[in-house]
Amino acid sequence: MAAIVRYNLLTKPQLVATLPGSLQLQRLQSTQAPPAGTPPPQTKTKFGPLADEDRIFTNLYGRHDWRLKGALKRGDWYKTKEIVLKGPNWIINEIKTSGLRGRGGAGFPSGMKWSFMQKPGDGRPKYLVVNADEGEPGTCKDRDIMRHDPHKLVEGCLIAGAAMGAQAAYIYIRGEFYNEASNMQLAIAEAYQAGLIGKNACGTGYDFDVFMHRGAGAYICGEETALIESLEGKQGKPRLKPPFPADVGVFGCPTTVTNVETVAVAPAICRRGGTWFASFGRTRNSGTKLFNISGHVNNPCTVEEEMSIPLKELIERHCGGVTGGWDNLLGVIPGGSSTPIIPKNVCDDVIMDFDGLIAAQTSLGTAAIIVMDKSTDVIKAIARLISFYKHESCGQCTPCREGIGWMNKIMTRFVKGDAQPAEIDMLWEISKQIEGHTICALGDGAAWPVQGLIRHFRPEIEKRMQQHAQQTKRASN
Amino acid sequence: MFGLLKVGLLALPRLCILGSSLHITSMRRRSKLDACNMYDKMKFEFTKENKARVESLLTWYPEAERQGALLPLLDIAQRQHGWLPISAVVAVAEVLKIDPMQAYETAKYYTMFHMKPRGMYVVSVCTSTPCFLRGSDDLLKACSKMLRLEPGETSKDMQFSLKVDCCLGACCERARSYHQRRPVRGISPR
Repeated sequence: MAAIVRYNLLTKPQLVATLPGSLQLQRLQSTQAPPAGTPPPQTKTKFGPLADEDRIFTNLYGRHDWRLKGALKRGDWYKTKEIVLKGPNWIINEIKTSGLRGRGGAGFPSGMKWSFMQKPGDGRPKYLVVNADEGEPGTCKDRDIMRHDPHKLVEGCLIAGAAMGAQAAYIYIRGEFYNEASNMQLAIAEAYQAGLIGKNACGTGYDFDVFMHRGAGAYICGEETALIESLEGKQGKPRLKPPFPADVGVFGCPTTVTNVETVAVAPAICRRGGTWFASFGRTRNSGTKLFNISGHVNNPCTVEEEMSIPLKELIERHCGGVTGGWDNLLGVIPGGSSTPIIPKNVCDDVIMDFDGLIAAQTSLGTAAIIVMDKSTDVIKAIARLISFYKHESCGQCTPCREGIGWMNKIMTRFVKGDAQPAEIDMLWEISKQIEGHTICALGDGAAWPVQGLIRHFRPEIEKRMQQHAQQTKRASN
Repeated sequence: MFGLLKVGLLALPRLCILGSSLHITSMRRRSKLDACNMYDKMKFEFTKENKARVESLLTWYPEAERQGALLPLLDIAQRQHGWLPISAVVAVAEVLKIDPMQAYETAKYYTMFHMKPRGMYVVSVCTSTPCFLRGSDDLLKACSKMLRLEPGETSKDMQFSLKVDCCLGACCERARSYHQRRPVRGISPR
């Protein structure tokens, strides 16, 4: 009996001990000398709160001047020339050491993604595309960066562009963000005038342009291939991958699409060192992160915090707690509208990072926390999200186009309770049929909230159906 | 914040009542124009300033990939005209030397291009989940009562449109509405 042990219960040295001798030696050798760019191991066990001197976004609330003069005072554009002159390998190595993972939702390691662009060129220009099409309900972090700290993004574009050898950066901003686009445009113009970007950027001999491109109100354009299509002046419909954008991207040239926050933290990482950034948060979840907390809290806010901070501490410390106290909490959507909801008993001790939330059967997404207290009609809240996804589905893939429409119809009836309990399983089945059967992740994003609702709030749905059945019975009598 | 909105909402209809006797016939005709039958009736040409804007925008995109400028150009055209008639789409397609149908298809795909006449002031209220939790439904009802419009409608004098939106990106600032591109946030439905 003792031999039957699940492998995931064993510790790493125990696992190594079960391997044959020659393999053991190989493994030991490989652990002795980690490859360059490996983040240092984390020794801390308690995470958060973040000290003020460790904040990257120092003007998140717009209390200071956001123009070039104010940005210089806050330390932007400091020694950018030296960083660019250290070369692409140094920058990418620093990003790899920092363990930075993409902040747009999927959490792909940024250092690795940027290094895909280092392949020997074939004469085509390379482009960096910054994804500022932030349309996910609950998410408003990039907007705060762009209107109050636009120079962080412009500088980040230069450094990321230098790391990839890109010729120009396009910032694709969503059309609704008109004022934010104006601020960005002013910041770019200031940077051009000061010689920080453009020909011979910062005096490094490297030519780099930054352009703004305003979208026109399509949530799906936040998906990287749809964004590329939209930038080319076509309908924003996701492309099939491969070819990946690193091979054939915008205008048929190698392209990397990254989130605003990922690009904007790059200068700070290069200045203060990857190991500094890796000292926050658990291993593989390192860094600081902007959290948006909205919904039923006393003081909804956007705040920069350390990764791996417990959810309860985050809400109590920065938002003045849930309305009516922590015991009044019903559930939380932890990562923007496309992640599954978690109920209060999970919220009590969940840790806000990629791995911690996956363990709780949800995901970090864009770290947009939507808090719901006990007065919430949770079925209606999820039904709202589904109607949003139904509206935003681009219509290319049948499971998404038809399936989300069906889910929306069923959810609308669930809100009233006008359904049979067996339909809950049908809804689950539809969501499972949509998930993973579409070109892009919009289908998954629509399926997950429904799955989360059924997983944790099934009794609630059934109760409402019973109530509705009793009411109709009484009415017919 | 709310006081400003209220004054704005109440003052503007009065103004337009004064002006409406002059414009009433032309307004009525305009509201009946559909995107399809106005192609010959409405000529569209970029103004001088906008032509300069278009020229500078085109330099942002590689020579062979001018089509990339389609969305910004359509946006300029819409700004100039208030909404996006087919003749404007055709004019943009001519500038970019692409098929007009291609430009039309793209314009139809995006929700921010209004192919039908809309009010001078567009009030859009976000009703997605974070705003719903902070009472955006009441706000929408209040707006609809004040403007005497159902969501999606435009008033007969072409002054106001009421629109339901999904996420305007101010989820941390309570329910939000847009009023002529100026965001009004943190308002309550009182």
